[in-house]
Amino acid sequence: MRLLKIIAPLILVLLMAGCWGKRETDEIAYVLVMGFDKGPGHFSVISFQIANPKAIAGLSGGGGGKGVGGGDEPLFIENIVAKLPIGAFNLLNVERSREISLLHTTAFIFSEEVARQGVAHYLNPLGRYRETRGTAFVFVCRGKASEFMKKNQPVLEVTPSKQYAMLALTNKIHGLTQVTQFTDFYQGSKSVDVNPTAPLVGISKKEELSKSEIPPHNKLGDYLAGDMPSVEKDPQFIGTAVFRKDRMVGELTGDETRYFNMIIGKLNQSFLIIDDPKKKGQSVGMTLRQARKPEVKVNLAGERPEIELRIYQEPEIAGVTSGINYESPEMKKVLEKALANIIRKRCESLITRTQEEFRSDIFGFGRKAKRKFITLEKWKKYNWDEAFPQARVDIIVHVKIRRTGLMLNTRPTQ
Amino acid sequence: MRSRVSFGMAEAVVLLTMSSMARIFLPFPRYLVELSGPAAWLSSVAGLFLALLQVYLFYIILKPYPGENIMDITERTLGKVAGAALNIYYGFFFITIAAGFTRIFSEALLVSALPRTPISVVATSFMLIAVMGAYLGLETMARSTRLTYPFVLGGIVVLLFGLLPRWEISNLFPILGSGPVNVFIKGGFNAAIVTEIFLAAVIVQSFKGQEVFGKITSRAMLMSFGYLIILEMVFIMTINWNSAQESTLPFYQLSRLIYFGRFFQRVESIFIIIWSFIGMIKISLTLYASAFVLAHAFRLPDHRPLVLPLAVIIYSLSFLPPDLPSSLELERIIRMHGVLPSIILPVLVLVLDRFRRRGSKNEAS
Repeated sequence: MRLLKIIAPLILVLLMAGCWGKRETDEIAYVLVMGFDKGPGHFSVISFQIANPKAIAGLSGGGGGKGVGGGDEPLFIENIVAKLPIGAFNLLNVERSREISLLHTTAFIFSEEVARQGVAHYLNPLGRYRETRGTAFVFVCRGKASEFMKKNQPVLEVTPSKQYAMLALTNKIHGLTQVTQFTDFYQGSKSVDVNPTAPLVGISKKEELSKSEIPPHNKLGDYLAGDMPSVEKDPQFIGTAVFRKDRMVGELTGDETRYFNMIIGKLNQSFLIIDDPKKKGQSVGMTLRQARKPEVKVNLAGERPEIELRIYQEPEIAGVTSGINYESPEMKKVLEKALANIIRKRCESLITRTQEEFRSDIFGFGRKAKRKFITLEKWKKYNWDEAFPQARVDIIVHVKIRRTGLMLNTRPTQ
Repeated sequence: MRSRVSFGMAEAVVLLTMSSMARIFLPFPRYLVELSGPAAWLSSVAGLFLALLQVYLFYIILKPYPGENIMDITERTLGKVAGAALNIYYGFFFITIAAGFTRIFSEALLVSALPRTPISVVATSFMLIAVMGAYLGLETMARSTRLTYPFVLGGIVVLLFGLLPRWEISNLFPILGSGPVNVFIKGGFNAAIVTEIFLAAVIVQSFKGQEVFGKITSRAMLMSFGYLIILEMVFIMTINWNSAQESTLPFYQLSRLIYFGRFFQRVESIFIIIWSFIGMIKISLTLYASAFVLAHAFRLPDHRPLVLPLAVIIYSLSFLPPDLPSSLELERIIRMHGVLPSIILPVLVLVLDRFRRRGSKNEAS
């Protein structure tokens, strides 16, 4: 017995060390981003953006931008034609010396073409495979995903992984895009209460816009990814892809995404320019801030659902070109009213678009509606997908300007 | 055979709690969601009430016979031969439970953390620890469980509350999920069947006095069902019921979703440590129980000679199901079969015992 007490722990130490599963870090190559494009026939082109440890070691060591191997790129892309993503991932191993791992994959990018055909058959293997993570970010690319991955060279970050993770932070500043993690997207694609959305990405194509393409100044960020004029061919993360279940059915511009974020209670901060309510041709800049989460009440007693949406904003004055003293209590009310009116109209127009054009409840009003039902059977029978487009939505916007920036009393220019 | 060891109430409560918590780390929470939809947590609440009724049932069986356990009372009521036969059946019941858990815990470890390790190696590791635990006995298991309990509890709290930003309360609606029959009756019964109440009646002599049986077992049930209810709620609030039904290992999946920016993520390793420890406790305790019950039935003075042969049997039985889905289905059948030793047979013993006692009173008068 004493011998057993000594030997058993020793055997356990050996067995529990996971020797069978061991993988040395210098035997593995990590995929950072996966892209999905339409391939020939029923096949897909799966792109893998892989970190080159040789080159990244050189970069992080302050080696002046080149890897140990001299001209090595820190990232390289492999495109594999296969039916399913994990199949492509397996085939990828025949082209590289190191075992390819998805343990650090932080983003899945679907091309618009693939997204419009439906992404369910990609989502299932990605959700099942143990190396992929529910916290990875999902994007929809305007154009080819592989092209975007190739052209997306983050200037401020060593890897695109960090770039995608940082997007969650920058979106808190402008609110013109979305942050969608795989788990939320997957659940949305199977939910009966809410449909999924994903941020749009694209490479800027234009340096300037024709007159008809220029959005009005009071619709700041009214672009889809890739359409915003920019001198450099930079990656752009703006706008939202709207899905009905697993199929993309439309796009929201950056400006519409701002109001979408506002309705779902995820608009931390966003800059907005509105027409000066008192002086035509002049503008007022406002920094929007959510005072508290929106309130949604759903009434299903009538023939069609009635939704009451209350939005609470506490903006800050960022700029007044007319020089009118909007900081004064009387004028502040005028500005608050004008802003509330604009927010209400934009939200109404967005909701109408989702009802009539997309027929997709991306706001999650269904989540509130299902509270009215006692069992799943009754809720499913109600068929929210059909009821939502018929719903009447009343929007009440509460705007209270709490702060006026570093100026308290604007004086007119003499 | 009598238990020669005893330990305090806290150790006993924690031992039974940790053992009955084992199922929450396996696909069981998913099964409740499949059955009850978003109201799976209500099934757990119903299960708690039924479990407390079971505790009361065993309490009134044990109460008139201080110093005796359920096997002594079974033999006293049914006679030596029938009683011993029933006790042998109880022993085999524990063997099947241990075999089921060995296989499922091993499979779960392969699915989550050790995909390239042969299952035989993982199962062997579990069995070696179980043999050691069963040899060293209840006191060692109880005290080591008591020592590690704060870490296990802390780990679970971190994991569950780490998901706070993902909680969506609307996911708990419609409040009655798949309907009252599924939620309260089918779901309630499924949740209520735990072997630990019966196990407590087997090891009652280690509880420093039989009168604390009710207190220990009911507290253990309150704690373990408390964990189950909280986990089910967090599970459904984090992953809506439709997707939740797909999950092989709900708790593991939840731990993978913790993401507080770039610096606090990938905490599932904490979960795997907790999980392995609970698996070891569960398998050790059921192996011990099967050896203890069979030793009693065969009138052996010590359970230890049976530990190794039973471990080999449990190990072999655990490999009978061809795959993970079959093992889970088999485990579900065994769990449902648990209604026999946990409720039906004890009720039979209670009724016969009361008749017998009434008969002896009449004779005496």
